Order: sequence, then structure tokens, then C-alpha cells
Amino acid sequence: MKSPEEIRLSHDLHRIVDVRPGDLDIDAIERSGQRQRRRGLAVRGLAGVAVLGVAVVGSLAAANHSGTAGRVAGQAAARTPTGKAAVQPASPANVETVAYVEKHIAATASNLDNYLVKSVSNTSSVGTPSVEITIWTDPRTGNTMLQQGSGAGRLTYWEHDYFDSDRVLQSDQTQVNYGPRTWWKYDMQGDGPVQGPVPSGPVGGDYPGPAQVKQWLDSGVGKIVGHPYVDGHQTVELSISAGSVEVHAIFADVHTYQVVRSIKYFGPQSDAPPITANYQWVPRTSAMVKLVNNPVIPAGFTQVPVGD
Amino acid sequence: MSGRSEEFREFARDRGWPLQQTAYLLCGDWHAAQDVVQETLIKAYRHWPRVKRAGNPDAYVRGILLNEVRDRWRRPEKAEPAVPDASDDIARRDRLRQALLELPLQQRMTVVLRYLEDQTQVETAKLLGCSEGTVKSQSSRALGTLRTFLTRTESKL
Repeated sequence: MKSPEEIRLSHDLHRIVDVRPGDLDIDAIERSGQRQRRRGLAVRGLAGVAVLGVAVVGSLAAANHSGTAGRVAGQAAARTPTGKAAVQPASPANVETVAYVEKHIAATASNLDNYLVKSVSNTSSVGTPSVEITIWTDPRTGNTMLQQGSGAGRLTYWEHDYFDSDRVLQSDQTQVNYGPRTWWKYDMQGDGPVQGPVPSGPVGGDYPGPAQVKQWLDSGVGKIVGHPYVDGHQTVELSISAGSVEVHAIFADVHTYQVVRSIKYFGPQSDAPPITANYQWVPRTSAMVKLVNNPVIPAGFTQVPVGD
Repeated sequence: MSGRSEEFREFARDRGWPLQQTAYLLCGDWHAAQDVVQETLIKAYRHWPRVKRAGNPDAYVRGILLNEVRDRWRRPEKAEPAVPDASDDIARRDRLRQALLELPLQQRMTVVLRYLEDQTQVETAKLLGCSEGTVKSQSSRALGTLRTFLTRTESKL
């Protein structure tokens, strides 16, 4: 018999996992399983050959013969007393070059509409403590929700950027300040119509989408420097340098090529510490989509002029 | 299509999603959860005759999954808990998810098996390779920790 607390916990756990992020690729799983199974059988087969080789060499030596079969088997036995050492690791299906990695990161960045992106980063300034900022972005709309601080310093800020029919950039901003229990709304306009064509797709957002990734990759020359684990992902770490100065580091999941961490460096001329942002690709639950795209003013909060 | 293939595919289609749910609560990240489940199913495929011989493929594969999670947890970098801070039920559940990730792995596994998968104490003990008494004490400790964490973050279970 479960207590009410246990029943509530069970209910909550089911709600937490009530989000289907995507189906498993059973074909791919089966292919991997088949490959690994074949490899396993090959290892056992080679072990058999090696044992047989030792026996053949032994008998041939006793008879003072040196036939071709004996040489081949003897070499196999000499190299592989257990048989296992003869099996080379499977070569990767694709050779991981900088070009290959950059191409896949860029391709993945163009195909993110099934996710919300959550980025957690620090502020970077000299002389003041770094503050952690969480930004949720909906890649379909470009809308963002920023969360910062705790207690009396806690605030939430929403921004919706778009071009109006006169080609003028509009930015609708709303902020809720939890300390003084106030909120403000500010609709900012660009100076005038944008020159040239209006950018296609959503405007705004702070996430490794196509524009951001292009900017990173174009900022210097890439180099693969490692494969560290980041937030549970095995990643390929790409260091991007302009001249001899590293300007960015990008960490992309080795399976999906989604960027899970970026680090921006300011170079030796600046005292500013680097900015690290960690990204999570979160399934689009209707509740989170609603929250990111629609400011929520808590009951009882007072509207104040912008900046208060 | 071979017999192995058909049976395996049916199993993977049927059990893939519940396994992902369990893995998610243990890892705290959907990508990691999918990786864990894929590795688990690849291993299950390789040893499918053994999985079937075990009599309860579901329990056997869940055992592989728990080992896979243990393996990953031993690696140097762990998934960091996520921190959405919305002002409604979503936030409370997210705090619960964070709290879960703060639990020691064995307690977390106990909670997920008992309260997500609805396994009995006996089944949970078998899956984790421990006694029923340990399952009881681990559950009780885990509930206490979750309660404290949620109270500290101004919410209650």
C-alpha cells in the first residue's frame, strides 16, 4: 500500500516523462547489433585459427616442414596468442575531419524545429561577479524567455523580435521582477526600414541555430582538439582560432552533432573572462512552448514604467 | 526477415519507450537516455537467444539498462541537472527531477523502479541485486531527501 506521498511521487514521475522526444531508430539499432555480433563471431573465429595455427606449427616443426599453410597460420599465432589482438577496431564509417564535423554541425543547426533550446551561460565582465543566465528559445518563432537570479533578484524577461509590414524591426519586451513584485512592457522599434531583403525565418533567439553556427565557423580556422564528455554527451571539441588566438570552442554531440556547449574567448587584449554557454535540446511540450512564447505575469504584480 | 529480427523488433517497438522513460529519470537528459537505451537494445540484440532463455526478456533487458546507466555514471562527467524556473507545476516537477538527480544512483534507481515502473519491493530487490530490506531503506531515505529538497525550494511533494 502506497502512502499519499508515494502516490503523488509516482504521479509526478509519470508526468515528468510524459514527453516523447522521438522514436528510437530500430533499424539502426538492429544494424549495430548485427555488426557487433559479426565482429564478436569474427573474434571467436580468429581465436580458433590461432589455436589451430599453434597446433599446425607445432606439428610442422616436429616434422621439420615449412609449408605455406604453416607459415600463414604460424604468423597468425605469433601475432595473436589469444586471437583477440589480431582484430583491429572497426574503422569508423566516416573519417572525422574538421570539414566533416563543421558540415554536420551546420546541417544539424538548420534542422532544429522539433526542439526548444535551453542555454545556461554566465555573464562576463571585469570586476563584477559572474551571474548565471538561462535563456529558452523557440527556434520556430525566435521568441526567447530569459531567467536570471534568485530571491529578490530574480527576474524573467521575454522578447519577441520581428519585422513589421513596413520592414521595420520590432522588439516586444516584457520583464517580471520578483523582488519588488512588478513588471513592465516595452515595445521597441528599429530606426527605420531594414536595408535590403527582410531576413527570412524567425528573428532573434539566442541559440546555436544556423546563423549563430555560421558566425562561429566563419570566425576562424577550426581544429579538432578532443572528445570530452559534456553534460552526459560524448562530444567532438572544435577549437576555432583567428590568427593564433582562440576565439571560440564548440562542443557538439558526436552522434547528433547538436552543439551542447560553446565558449567565447575575448583574446589576450581583454581581461574579460570567457563566456560559457551550455545548451540542452528539449522536446517541445505544449506547456513549455506556451511559457516561452507568452509572458506570464504573476497575480498581484504591479505594472511599472520600463526600467523600474 | 529472420526470427531473431522479428522478435527483437517487436520487443524494441513495445519496450523502447518505457525504457527511455526510465533512462531519462536516471540520466536527467533525453539524449543520454536515448543513447543508453540504444546501447541497451544493441546488447540485447547481440545476445537475443540468451535474453529469451532468461524467461523474462523485459526484466533481463532492464538489467542491461541499469548496468549501462551505472557504467555511464562512473565516467568522469555526469549530466548536470537542468534548471528551468517557471512559476507553475512545470517548475515543481522540474525541481523534483533535479532532486532525483541529486540522489545517489542506487537510491535513484530504487525510486524509478518503485514509483515509475511500479515494481514491487521483491522485483526491485531482484533487479538491483540487493535485499528487500535494502530496497525499503533506500526508498525511505530517497523519499526523505526528496521531501527535504522540495521543501527547501518552497514546494512540497
